[in-house]
Amino acid sequence: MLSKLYDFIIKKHLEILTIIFVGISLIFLSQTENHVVLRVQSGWQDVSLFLKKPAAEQQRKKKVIEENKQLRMDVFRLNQEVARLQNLDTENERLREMIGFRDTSQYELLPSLIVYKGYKNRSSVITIDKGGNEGIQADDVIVDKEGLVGRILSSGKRTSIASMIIEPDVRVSVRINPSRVYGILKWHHGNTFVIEDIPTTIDIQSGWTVTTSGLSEVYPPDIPIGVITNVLTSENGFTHMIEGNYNVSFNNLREVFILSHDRNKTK
Amino acid sequence: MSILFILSIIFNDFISIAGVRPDILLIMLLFLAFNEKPIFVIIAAFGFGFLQDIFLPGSIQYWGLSPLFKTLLIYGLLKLLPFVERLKGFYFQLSVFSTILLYYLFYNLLYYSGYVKPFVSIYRYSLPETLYTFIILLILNMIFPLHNKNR
Repeated sequence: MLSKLYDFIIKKHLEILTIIFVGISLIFLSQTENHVVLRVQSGWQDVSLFLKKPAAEQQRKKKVIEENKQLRMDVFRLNQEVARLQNLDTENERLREMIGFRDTSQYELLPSLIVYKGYKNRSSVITIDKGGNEGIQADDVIVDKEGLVGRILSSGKRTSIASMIIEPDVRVSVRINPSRVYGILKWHHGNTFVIEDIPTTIDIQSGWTVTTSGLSEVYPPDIPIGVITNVLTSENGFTHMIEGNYNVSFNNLREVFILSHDRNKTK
Repeated sequence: MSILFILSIIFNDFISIAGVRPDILLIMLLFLAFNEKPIFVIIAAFGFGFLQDIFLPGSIQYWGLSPLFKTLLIYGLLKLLPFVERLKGFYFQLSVFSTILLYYLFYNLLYYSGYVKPFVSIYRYSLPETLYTFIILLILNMIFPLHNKNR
């Protein structure tokens, strides 16, 4: 009997073991909430946490670095966006002012964008985005909301080249207000001009304004040019040497208006 | 093997992809099934399952589920081993894949019963876990061939 049982066990040991293990597993399953099991599990969690800590720390560090990199990129993008919006805001403000100027000006003005600033025959010139198609022709006057800028030298179909009044060779017939004295203005240096040959017998004071005289064939009258900053007496003692600042900031010019002779004659 | 076992229970979380973890212990059992004596393998199946339920996170609710299914699966595999060992190439790999899939199907059906629908447990857990485990098994198989021809 015992030998039979022994043979059976030897023969079916795998099945017997399987049944025992399955039975134990089922007992375990019914004891899921057993406090001993839970204590073992929580103890293991502590050990596991200690072992995992360096790797988890490393992973966290890697994640933080990645996040930092991403945030830096975001900051850069946002800064770029802020700069763009600020630029748009400034441009918007400038355009608003220009629209206001155009509406209040006594002349018919054509807005135009400066597309290029450079040199031609050793003179500094600007290229604007309006040309013959818009009725632009040589000697048309260019102004800014602050005052006189220059005149058109030549025009193509879509663009025109213009010279500015801050050239050593350029002279402009001007009137000093409120004394209504006429003179010839020439560029001095930087953003300053000089008017010479005004007799010292005429009273001229700093802060007085300078406008176009209207005596020239090119420039119509009463276009603002600048403000007198300094009144000196020349070496001969008979004439003033008047210094002043241009109203227009030539370095920052981006948009201008064209005052076409033909259009204003019609007007 | 002990080192692999310890590593697998320590770094179980780190090798998970979108919450899907491979069963390293099941892979070890499959290697044992093809290379060791059946009695040793069935004991290992129960032992590994038991240790898995204690040490690997996520097995708290059903303590005893892993040893139950690992023991049954390995028993079935050992019974079919003469047939499986005759298979070659694709059919052999398919049989190994089916073994893993069978384990996960039953295990996850019970494990997630009451939490997710059976169909969801299949496509959300059973299939991805089977695939992940099988891929790791294939990689290991290239280094340590699963099928010992000298057996």
